[in-house]
Amino acid sequence: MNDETRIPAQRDLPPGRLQLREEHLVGEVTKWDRAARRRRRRLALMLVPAVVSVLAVTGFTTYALTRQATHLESVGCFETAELDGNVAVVNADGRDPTAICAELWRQGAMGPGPAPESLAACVLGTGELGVFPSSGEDTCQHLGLADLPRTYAAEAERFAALRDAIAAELGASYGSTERDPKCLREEEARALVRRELAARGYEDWSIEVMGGGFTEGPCAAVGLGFDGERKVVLLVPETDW
Amino acid sequence: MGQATDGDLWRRAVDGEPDAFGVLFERHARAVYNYLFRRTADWTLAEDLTSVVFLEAWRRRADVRLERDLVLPWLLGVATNVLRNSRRSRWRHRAALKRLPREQAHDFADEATGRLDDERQMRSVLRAIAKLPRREQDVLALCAWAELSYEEAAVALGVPVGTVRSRLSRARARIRELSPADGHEPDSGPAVPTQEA
Repeated sequence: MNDETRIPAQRDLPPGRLQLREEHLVGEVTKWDRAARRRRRRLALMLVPAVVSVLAVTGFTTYALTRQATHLESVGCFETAELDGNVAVVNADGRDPTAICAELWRQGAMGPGPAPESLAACVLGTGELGVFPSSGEDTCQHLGLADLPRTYAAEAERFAALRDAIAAELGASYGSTERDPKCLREEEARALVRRELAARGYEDWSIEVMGGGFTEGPCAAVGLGFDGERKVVLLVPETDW
Repeated sequence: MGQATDGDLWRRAVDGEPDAFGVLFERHARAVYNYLFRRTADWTLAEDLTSVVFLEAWRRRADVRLERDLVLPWLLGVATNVLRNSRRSRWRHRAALKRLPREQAHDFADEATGRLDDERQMRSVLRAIAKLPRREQDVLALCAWAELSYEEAAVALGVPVGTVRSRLSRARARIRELSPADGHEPDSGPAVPTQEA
């Protein structure tokens, strides 16, 4: 090892950030526990008179009509119909999300239990997609979530086409598609992605390079990721962790 | 009154005292933060992932059996898994991260140059060990960089102590083959100390 391969000395979190992060963490875990208690109470509410239930469903329906799926790049397949249950996050590929998760269940990737008879795709509060075991038509509403909007299929297909085009340009393996990697310079990779974004109506997306940049040499093989929430295409040079 | 042990705090946290979890965060955030930096060469990412590690630790709090009342080895094990499945982990806790206030991010401007130097230097180290299998990199990072004992690294990785020893031994041998020269520098260290842990 030479001077270039010495590990830097430890540092504290930047001033003020330790306390800020601690307060955030304690707030989040407190909220987490309260949410769990609320979910338990919600189950109890199912026993209230029918008229109250109808009002509640109406409220959820209004909510559902206004909720958009903003994360077209991934799908969360939940093991149980609970928001804090185990979840397997997989790439979306333009198919119906319930079909994607059903395949995981068939492959045994969701655990040892039997596959549920039906699945429901819902939009989480964050705009992400969650697919839950379903026992009826109102699974999403029972979870306080919106149903999948009708526009989702077309949007997901369009996004999958964008993703495939970018992956092909970069020689990036994505999902189950393996490609021979290309060695690209950073500006070259950015230009290819920018061109596809512009050609397919995603001009409002930006590009970020992860993991410290293209430092290995003049060019690098590039991995690919998408962050639908921030509308960012993530380029991951091979040196990235 | 003596300081509460990690185990005491952990049990109180599991019993529904988030503040006790906050104390554990205060106690171990620095170690987790530096471990994550040394695996990613990115201070900003390491800070976000530190939050993810503790959120993930809370999510899995019911599964934990502490060895010798020490939380840090287990936290670094969670951190190692978070690094391996970073996309999934960040996806899972994205909503929580989004609620984190960002306004103080510019407060450490004075340190910015030093941190940039750290990142450049750490990238160089990561490139040097990139040829090692991931499992050997994990052991190297836990034992040599985070200074866990073999036993603690075994807890972190969920493998037998003998496996930790053999992986670290192989890692050191490979590193020596790659770069025979070595030395020391104050307040920092070579990527692979020659002393046994």
